[in-house]
Amino acid sequence: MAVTSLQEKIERLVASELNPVRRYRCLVLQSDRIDLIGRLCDYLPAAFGAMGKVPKMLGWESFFDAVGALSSDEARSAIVAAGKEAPVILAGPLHYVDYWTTGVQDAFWSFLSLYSRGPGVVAIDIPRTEGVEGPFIARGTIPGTEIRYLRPRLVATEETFL
Amino acid sequence: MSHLNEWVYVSQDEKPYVNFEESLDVDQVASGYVPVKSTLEVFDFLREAVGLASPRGRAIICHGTYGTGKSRLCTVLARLFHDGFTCPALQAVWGRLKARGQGTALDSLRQALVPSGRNWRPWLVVPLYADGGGGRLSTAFVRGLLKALRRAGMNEEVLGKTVFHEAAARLDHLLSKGKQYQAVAGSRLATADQMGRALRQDFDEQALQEFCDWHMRETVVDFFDYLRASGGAYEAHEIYPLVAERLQQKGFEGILVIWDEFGLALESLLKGSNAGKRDLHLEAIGLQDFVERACGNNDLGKRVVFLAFTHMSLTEYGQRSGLPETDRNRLETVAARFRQPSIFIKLSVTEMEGYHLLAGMLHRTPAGEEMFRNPLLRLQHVASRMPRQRFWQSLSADACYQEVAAPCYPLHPATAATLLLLSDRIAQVNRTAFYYLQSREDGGVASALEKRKLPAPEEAGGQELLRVHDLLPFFAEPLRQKEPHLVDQYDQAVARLPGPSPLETALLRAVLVLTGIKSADMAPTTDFLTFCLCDAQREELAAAPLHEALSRLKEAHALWKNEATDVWNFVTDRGLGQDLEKELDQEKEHIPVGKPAGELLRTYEVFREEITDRLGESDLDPCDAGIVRRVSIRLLDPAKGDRALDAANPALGGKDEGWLSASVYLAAVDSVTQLDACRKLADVQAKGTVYVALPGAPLSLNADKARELIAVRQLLEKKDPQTHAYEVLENKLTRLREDLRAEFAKAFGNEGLRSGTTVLKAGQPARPVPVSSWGQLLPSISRDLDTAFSSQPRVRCGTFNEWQEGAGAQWNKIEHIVEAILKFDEKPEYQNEFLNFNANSQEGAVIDGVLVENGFFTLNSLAAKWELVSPTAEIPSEALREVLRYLAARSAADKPFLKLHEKLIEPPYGIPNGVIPLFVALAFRAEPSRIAIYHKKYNNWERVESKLAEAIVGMGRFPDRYQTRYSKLSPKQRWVFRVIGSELSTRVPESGATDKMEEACEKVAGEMRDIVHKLPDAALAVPDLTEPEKDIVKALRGGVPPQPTLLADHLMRWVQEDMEARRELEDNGSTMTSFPATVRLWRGFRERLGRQVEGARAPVRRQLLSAGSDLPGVVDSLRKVEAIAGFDNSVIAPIVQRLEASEGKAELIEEVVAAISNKETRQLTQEDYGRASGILEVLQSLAPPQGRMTVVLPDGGRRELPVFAHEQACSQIREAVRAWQTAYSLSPEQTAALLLGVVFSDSSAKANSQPTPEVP
Repeated sequence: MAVTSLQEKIERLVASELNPVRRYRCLVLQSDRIDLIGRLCDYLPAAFGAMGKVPKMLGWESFFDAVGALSSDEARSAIVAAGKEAPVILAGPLHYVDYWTTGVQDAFWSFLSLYSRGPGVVAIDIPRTEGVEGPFIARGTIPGTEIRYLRPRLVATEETFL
Repeated sequence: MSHLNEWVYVSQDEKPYVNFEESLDVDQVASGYVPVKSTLEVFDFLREAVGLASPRGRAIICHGTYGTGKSRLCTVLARLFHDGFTCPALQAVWGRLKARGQGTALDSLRQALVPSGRNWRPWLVVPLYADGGGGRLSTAFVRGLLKALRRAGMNEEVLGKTVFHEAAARLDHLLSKGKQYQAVAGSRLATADQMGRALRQDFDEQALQEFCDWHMRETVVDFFDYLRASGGAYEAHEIYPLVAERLQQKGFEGILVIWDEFGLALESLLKGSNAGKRDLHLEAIGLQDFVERACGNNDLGKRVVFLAFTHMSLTEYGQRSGLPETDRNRLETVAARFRQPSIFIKLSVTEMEGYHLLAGMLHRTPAGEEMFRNPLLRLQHVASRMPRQRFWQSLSADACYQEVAAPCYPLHPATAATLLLLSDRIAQVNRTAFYYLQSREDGGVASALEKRKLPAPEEAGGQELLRVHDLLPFFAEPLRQKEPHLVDQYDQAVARLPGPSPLETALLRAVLVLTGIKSADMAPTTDFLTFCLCDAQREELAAAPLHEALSRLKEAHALWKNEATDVWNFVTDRGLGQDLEKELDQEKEHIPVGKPAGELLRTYEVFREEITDRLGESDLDPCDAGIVRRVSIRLLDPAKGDRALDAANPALGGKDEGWLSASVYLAAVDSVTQLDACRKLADVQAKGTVYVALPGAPLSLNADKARELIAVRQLLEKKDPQTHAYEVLENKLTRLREDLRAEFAKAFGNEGLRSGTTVLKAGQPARPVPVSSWGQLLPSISRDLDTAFSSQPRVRCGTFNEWQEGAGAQWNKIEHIVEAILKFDEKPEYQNEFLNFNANSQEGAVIDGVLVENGFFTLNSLAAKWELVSPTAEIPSEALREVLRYLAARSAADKPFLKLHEKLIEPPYGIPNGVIPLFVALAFRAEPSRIAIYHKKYNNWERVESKLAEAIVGMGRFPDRYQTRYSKLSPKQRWVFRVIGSELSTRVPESGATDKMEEACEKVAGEMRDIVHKLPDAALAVPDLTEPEKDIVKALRGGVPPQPTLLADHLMRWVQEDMEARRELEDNGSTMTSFPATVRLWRGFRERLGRQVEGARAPVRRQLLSAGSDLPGVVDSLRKVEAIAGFDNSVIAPIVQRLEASEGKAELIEEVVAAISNKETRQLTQEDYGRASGILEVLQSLAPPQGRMTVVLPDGGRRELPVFAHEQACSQIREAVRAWQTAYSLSPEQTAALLLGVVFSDSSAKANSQPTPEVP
């Protein structure tokens, strides 16, 4: 039996979830294994490459400064600026969100779930539910891995009939 | 093989959706907009809203389904208000409008925005999307404004400070004073920097809450109290008008807020409220405030326009979220504050614009252009049949070809019309008309163009057309969600016909789609289906295959036809699902058979609504006192026994329910036994005031007819008003209604009242209310009720003589009057008729109808002055005494205002809630310094320190959110007065009677006020006063004495600033006996104040040493100067007059400086002292020194002479002069002139033997 590599699975997932005909284009990938998170960060540029796009990687360290995490407002501006033309990869874990109060976290995840600019966003993170689930809906795991993936709640209204 | 895409292609460049925020600067998005009818409605709204006054408000909801172009419209509006009418990106849009003859709408808007002769001035556009960045709605509004200002290149000075900025600044200040930030347990914000960042950049509400907690711990002062003391605007409804005003200086006309996908913000609020994270009630009020106060503001230069774009109305959001009734009502109240009606954004197909929209997406290739150069015959054939269909009957065949069939090719005209209706009715996020055109999946147009064979030119307009049934694959899912039963019926029909022909399949799909759009003019009749699928009429030969297919479908029990309407429907597994009679039978099955009519009447609201319009709440005519009371008319249910009669006032409890003064029960019962039970109930006194209408006999309604009526009503609610079935049901309903009403009137109509029906007051059966017609019933009850409200005051004015909802702009009028009452003594302008309001204004009417009518505001004809009552325990008005008794009585705990409110609206007072604030304000006049008001905010009771009038009005609006306290100082507050009192002349006892202690504290407060109040404004300029010290000075210098509790709070905050004094305060005498640090603090404070003032006074004091030591002395000195300078001197004369008129209340220096500066003594600044000193110095130089006199010579020169006495010489000169006068008949003046001339010409001639100094 042919074994599909993680790389291919990621490519397919990104191609379907960040399909340009979708209005809300953000994919959240969660894993509690740091090595897997690292591999995702390696695979995603290639996955976008297969779609003919060069993504911009926003590493978690760029969301910190001497004070601590940047403000959510700054973080959002950075994502919007980076994502105008190119897909954005939020390389995780997204520990910076833990520096924000829950209300601000909710607003951040809501912002990502309604993201409808440019080619889209993929956020790589550790498993977390609070704040994420609601704006996003867990769709399961990538087969053969422990990587959960979540899509915006409103995508459900875009599902096709066939 | 050639395909349709050789002639037609769909633009793929244009996204089928628009991200509003992203598209603001994208020309293509704005220029691609195709205006629809709703666009004109939006323009019309804007035309009114941008005017200097917009009585209907400046906020509106625009709702419509997905794909109706809302986001694109947002972009167009944003560009228009930002760039003006000449914006190049908008020219294409204007062109489309003009081409359709709708240029006048544009011209009207242009005239409103750029009145003739003026240049274009942009508006600041505030774009908001979805949840607006999170947090409260008010915060989202402010955040959006901040970002818009930054985008426009303006700094935050225009915005002023938000509460978050204030908090961050306060944090910095306290840190600089040595305070240590300590995060609360579990906080995400571990450091002060993080806290500051969260406040400044994220407008983080949780951070603000944590900051407030820390502030309270560190300073013992509530942060919001601190803010209030400094004034300022912090909520969106306060900030926007201010910013709009400031923006004028920056070249902007006003602010336009466009919130796209506002529905997502509401959903987020509702979810947050369910999860207990957000407060729906408060946020709804916040939104209401924004709509009413910011967008309803008609002050010059404060224009704020708000357009909210949603998928449905606000009310629907509430209904769909399953909110409890109170919350739904709250949303409805907010919705009502927006301009009504809201604008329904839709693709209107009847006026061609929908076809234009579709045609705009379908582009022809050069080959296609060539094809369409000449008419396509088959397409003309289709167009020629269009006017015979109801949907296009108003169009000519030529118009059908030119405007619909040809531009929308290859969509069949019926497909084009259906597509737009589907998009309006059932569209989902990416299942809209535009997605359908661009889609290469699910039978979308883009794929059809690639797959369908290109016909021969002479065959074009035939088989290749996309027909109604071709829409189904793409719209199947939204249709299933919207009409699940219908799609189920379709599935069953398909299952009944194995191996259908393509035409049969097409028919089934077409029936499903056409039934789903629920358009009466496009119902799946035989005729319309023939047109859709065969391009013919039913009797034409081309329709024969369709008739055959329909017959087969009918035989297969897949479809059936309603012979009356000719509409085809699906057959369900229960038989003919669309059969009206069967449906009615099904509805009737749900209504119990054995129930008599009276019981049905009590059970089914729809039945009650249909046969009697007397039930419900009615306002009575105004009583003698002018008050409009409300009664409820209900059905009596004897089965409820003792609880059957209940007239409890729903306004009790303060939950914004209207009041009720009485209830009238109709004993509509089915048996004599029940009627007897009703009579017995009427014999007993009920809760509240209750009347019972007792007929002579039980009801004679036909129960079967009643069941049928209920079934018809219920079925009607499920039917689309545009359908034939609806019409049939309505006719049936009308007939049933008339029959049953006639029967009901026999008991409860005029006929009944004349034939045995009596109206009794519960508990007084022997005294029926005298009525012989229903028209007399309510006036009779009104007269009867007057006896219960024996102490009602007069409220003889409109509007406020009846119950007012808590929300509404009318309360502003009451606030104005309350403000005037509170400041009546302080501001002479209020001491006029109508408190200086216009006699014809609403305020004037209320003042006359309440204050004057009740003798609270009277003209003292002797003094010719208007006087406002200061209530005492002896005032004649019982209602005012009640208010005073409650507010000015000492109690162990805070007093909920609701308790008093309930007392006032009930007998014997029955005061309408709108005027209750006037009574409270009058009571406040009696005890202004001792009644403290507390307002509930976020579950905390906060002391009301400023905006007292607003709070008093709030007490009338939301009585459960306020409580009062009759001056009761806390131990710490008493301690601070005790320590300061020990430095003054009042000793505050450490223990003993509370009255005595508080009295002493008030004396200390009074002494402090005496000290500070007398100081000129110069005292405020002391450079090293701390913020708390400035607050103390401000409080003590206010127009009215500060409440002791408020002053104590300020003093405590001040004491806290010093570490040692703070320890003393914490101890407040429990272990310590002396408080040196606090005493030192007070002395230092007082000394600094004194030193500053003395410094300013010193030069004046020096000048006064020579001018005089008291007021008469100074006046005398100035008179001398005035005599020299001339009495018409414009500098000295007013000073002298003012000094003579002064009563000498203030110190001499201040009196003099005030006279010179022409100010009140309290308003004197350092500059005034300096100026006065200079003027005094100049005046002194003019005045002759002691022992000398000044003579002005005929030539204008002046001589100063020493005062000289020589009795003998004087006597001889006098005699000589008299002799000369007699000899030459000289008047005294002539004599003096001659003498002066002689003396001084001689003296000047004789060299300078004894020169006298000449006054310059």
